[in-house]
Amino acid sequence: MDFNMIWRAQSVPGPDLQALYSKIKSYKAKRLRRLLLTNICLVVTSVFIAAIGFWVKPERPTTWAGIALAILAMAAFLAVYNRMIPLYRSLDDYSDSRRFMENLLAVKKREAFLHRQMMNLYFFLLSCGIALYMYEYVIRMEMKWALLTYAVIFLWIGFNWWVIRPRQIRKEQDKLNSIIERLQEIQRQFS
Amino acid sequence: MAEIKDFEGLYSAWWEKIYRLCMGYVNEDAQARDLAQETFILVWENLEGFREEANMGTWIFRIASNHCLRQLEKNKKMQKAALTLQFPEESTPDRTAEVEMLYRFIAELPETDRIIISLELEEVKQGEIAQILGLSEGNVRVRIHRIKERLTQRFKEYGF
Repeated sequence: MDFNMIWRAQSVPGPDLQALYSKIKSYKAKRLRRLLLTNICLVVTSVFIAAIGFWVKPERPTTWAGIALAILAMAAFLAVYNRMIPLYRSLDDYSDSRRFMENLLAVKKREAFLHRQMMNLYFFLLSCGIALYMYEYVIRMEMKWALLTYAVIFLWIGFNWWVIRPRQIRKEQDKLNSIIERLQEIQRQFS
Repeated sequence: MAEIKDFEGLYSAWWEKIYRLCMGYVNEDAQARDLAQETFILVWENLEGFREEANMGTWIFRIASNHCLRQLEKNKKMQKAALTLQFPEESTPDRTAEVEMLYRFIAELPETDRIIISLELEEVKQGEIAQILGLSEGNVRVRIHRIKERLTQRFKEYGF
């Protein structure tokens, strides 16, 4: 059987330079948009939190500490998130495929690690921030209302820590783990 | 400006080879076109690096192979779709039954074997295939032999 002949006999759609150039343009824009959107969202939220501090003019240092921790949570999230992008830039598109897949696997594992750390840190700082921020307003309340308010706050923090956080982590980790698994499958084909 | 002209020349000269390689990997025309176009976006972005490379073929095929392998990040179902036993309804109109069969049987192979056989059918030297994939030449030779045996067997099963 002459496979080369069959292969060569096939028709191939012609090259389309216009389509290629428009794809290059949208490809760059798409990559930039995702990065900008996350950064803008978190920066705007941080500015909003800082503005609350400015307008409300808290008296106690705990309130300021709460605001600072919430902003720190956003900053930590962004710092780690922005560190994930250069990971992919370190991949050489023109290294041989065996090395390329090894590097891609290392990047995916690093991404999985960073994501888990980032979510833990984010939820921890944000929870501490809320608890500290509320202190100034809660101590002005009657004891029973103060206790009730903190009970609700801790309930909310607990819900975030034990339900939302693991769910967010699991969602991303499942996606990454399935990619890592398939990468390992392909890697076995190189041995 | 000269760079753009270089790139356009490169694109015209290599488009068919890259498209066929991508088609060998995904066995689906629209997806193969996308993959081939994206390969050229990477070529465009890495044009500087290319100037230092000794062999254009190895360089461009490496980018294409790596990009094909990276599809596992995007499409979980891709491999399974490629294995469908019916002819695709929207196949390229003048693609012959033999070509369709060949692609279908290639789609049944593991990912790296799909790339190896596509490069072999593009008449890329075995030493170069080894360099593209990071395998030894001996390994490539053995694998090509096994793949061709398997393809022959599959064609026989279908009365060819």
